[in-house]
Amino acid sequence: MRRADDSWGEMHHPTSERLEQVLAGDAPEDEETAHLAAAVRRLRTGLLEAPSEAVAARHLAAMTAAARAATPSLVHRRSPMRVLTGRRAAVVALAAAMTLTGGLAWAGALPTPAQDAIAGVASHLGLDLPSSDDRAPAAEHGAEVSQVAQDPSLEGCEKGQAVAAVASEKSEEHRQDPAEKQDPCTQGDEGPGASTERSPGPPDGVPADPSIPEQAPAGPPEGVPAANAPAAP
Amino acid sequence: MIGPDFERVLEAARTGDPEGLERIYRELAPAVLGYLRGQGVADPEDLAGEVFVALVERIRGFRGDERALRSFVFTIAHHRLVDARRRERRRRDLAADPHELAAAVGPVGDVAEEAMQALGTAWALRALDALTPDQRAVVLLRVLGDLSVAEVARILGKTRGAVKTLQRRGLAALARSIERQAVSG
Repeated sequence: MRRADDSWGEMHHPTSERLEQVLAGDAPEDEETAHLAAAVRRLRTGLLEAPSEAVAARHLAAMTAAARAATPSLVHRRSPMRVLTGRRAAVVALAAAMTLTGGLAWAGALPTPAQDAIAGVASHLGLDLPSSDDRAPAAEHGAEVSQVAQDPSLEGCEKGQAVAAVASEKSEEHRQDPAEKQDPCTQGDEGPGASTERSPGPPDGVPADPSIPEQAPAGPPEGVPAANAPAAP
Repeated sequence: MIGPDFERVLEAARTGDPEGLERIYRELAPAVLGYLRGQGVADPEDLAGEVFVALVERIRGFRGDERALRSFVFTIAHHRLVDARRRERRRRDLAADPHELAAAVGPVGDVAEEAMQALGTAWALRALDALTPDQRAVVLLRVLGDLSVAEVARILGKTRGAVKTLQRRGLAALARSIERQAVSG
């Protein structure tokens, strides 16, 4: 029989292993562990209780909502910081490219891969730089002019006219009145001394067609090298 | 225990699948709720809800087995408890008094009912009230959380030795409470 003021902790000193057995619920019931095991059982009985269905439903709804809120932000949404970072990277890349190429990118004069890369970056920023697609017609045009110039079947004035005609095709697309051109090769044979570099205008003493607007001579006067020709007013 | 299904359940919960979330909730909610109730929290159900929402927010980053998840959940629960206590202190709210909670259980009718109540919540709350806060935390995490000494030490930020000492003293105090009741009964 124990006294009323018996202190369990002073009377009993179960080992750590024994305590673990009590906590696991598989300790043999003896005097040393009886009160301890009873205390553990009562704690579990008194406090371990499943939440009511109403509370569980509320908790589960909150958990599902939290899961929904977390999923799109991780998978689909791009954070404003990342967007900003991407845009900043594009600006830095474009600035670096422009610095390195000295403005050639603006003129569309870079090699095709570089031009396309820079045009691509610039398009993300809303800037319109020429790409290789834009340059393709110009390159083809140059090849056509070169082909006519090297054609051995053409000579003299005809060859000059053919080269001029092909070369000026592009500008004629923009000219308002291309039909009023004259063919200098059909205006008299000036002999072997006649220069194909002469102005295509009327010969001296022949009045100009009033329907053609008066223009400054296209070439230098005879005997004056083209390089030293005075600038047109 | 969820058992062999644990990996599948965890993966489902990570994707936000309601069934996976519910399996984990049903498994751990009673212990979490008991822990918060035993700590004398004013509204243990609300705080338990916060704990499980926080779990959902972090479960993608969790790696480990079922036992590790249990420890993970009680770590969240303990941190939420500490936060709630700080909030209560700041607001100068009346913290829940285990004696008041025990009294709120209701009037005692007959001897059988009295015996049942002594075995129930009221006894548990009274007995825990006799412990220091550290002893109470250790005993609850070990008895209700079913966590090891090492896990409890990690959650509370204490050494294993300190946890063992707190556990021994806390359990001794509970045993004395049972002993007194037996003698007086």
